[in-house]
Amino acid sequence: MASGDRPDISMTPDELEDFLSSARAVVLAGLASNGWPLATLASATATPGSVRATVDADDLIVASIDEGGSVCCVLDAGISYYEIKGAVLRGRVVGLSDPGGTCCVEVAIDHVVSFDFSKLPEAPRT
Amino acid sequence: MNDDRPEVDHAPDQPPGDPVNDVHREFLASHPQVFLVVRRPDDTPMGYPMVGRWADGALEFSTYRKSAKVRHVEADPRVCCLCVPRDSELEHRVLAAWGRGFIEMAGRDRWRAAIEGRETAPAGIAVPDSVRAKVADRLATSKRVVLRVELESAAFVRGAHGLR
Repeated sequence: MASGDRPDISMTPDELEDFLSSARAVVLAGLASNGWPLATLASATATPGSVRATVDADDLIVASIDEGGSVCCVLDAGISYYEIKGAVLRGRVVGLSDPGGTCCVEVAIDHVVSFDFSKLPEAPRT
Repeated sequence: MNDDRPEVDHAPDQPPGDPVNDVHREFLASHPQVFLVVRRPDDTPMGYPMVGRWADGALEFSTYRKSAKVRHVEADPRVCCLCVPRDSELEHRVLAAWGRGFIEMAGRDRWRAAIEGRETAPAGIAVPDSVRAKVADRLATSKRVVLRVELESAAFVRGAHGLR
């Protein structure tokens, strides 16, 4: 069990790597200069240690992303309740480029939280 | 990177986006899959995949009272709600909406009634009866609370064009 009375439903490292390898998009979140949170949907490739996210250059979030700044990437998937899986990856921007009207953000991940509802104690076992 | 990115001069304490209009409201009411983004005390962003519920002109979420997201919102109520429709074949737009969140105890009864009376979950995911009963019980006993976000602005975001 995890801390408190909540079960540990996190993915193993291998499960997380598998889950991320199939991802094609992440929710990319940052903070505006005045502190308001920002978010957009980015095309992406992800591993447990890094995310490469691409958004249009005129997306609202672009002006608020700087090298060294903190961002958060969120993914989830699943059609039925006990198939829901997801991950929240937090890290720092280590690279920015602007190929062809897009903004490409390289993120080094330093904190990961994952969940897999099939691991809930009440989930049906196959 | 060429730093010719658009300058965005965020007014103090004003969220980005446009005033919330009927198109935004209808979108939020129709698509409950929402990523709630908050500011942590260490001045970094944090996102949570959630199921939202449009109720009485605001967006609401059910969550544990002792959860980190409740602590973060109580410390800084400014949030961004990114509404990403689950069925991207039918709806390719993504809406960002900004507002301030707070715990509204009165919302628990509305949520319990909705949970107990609903055949399918709003996000299009069939939630087992046992899970719905547990959520209703946690709301009744105040282990879960309703986080209500009064929206101030919204905008359809560009994201990655052509992705969806």
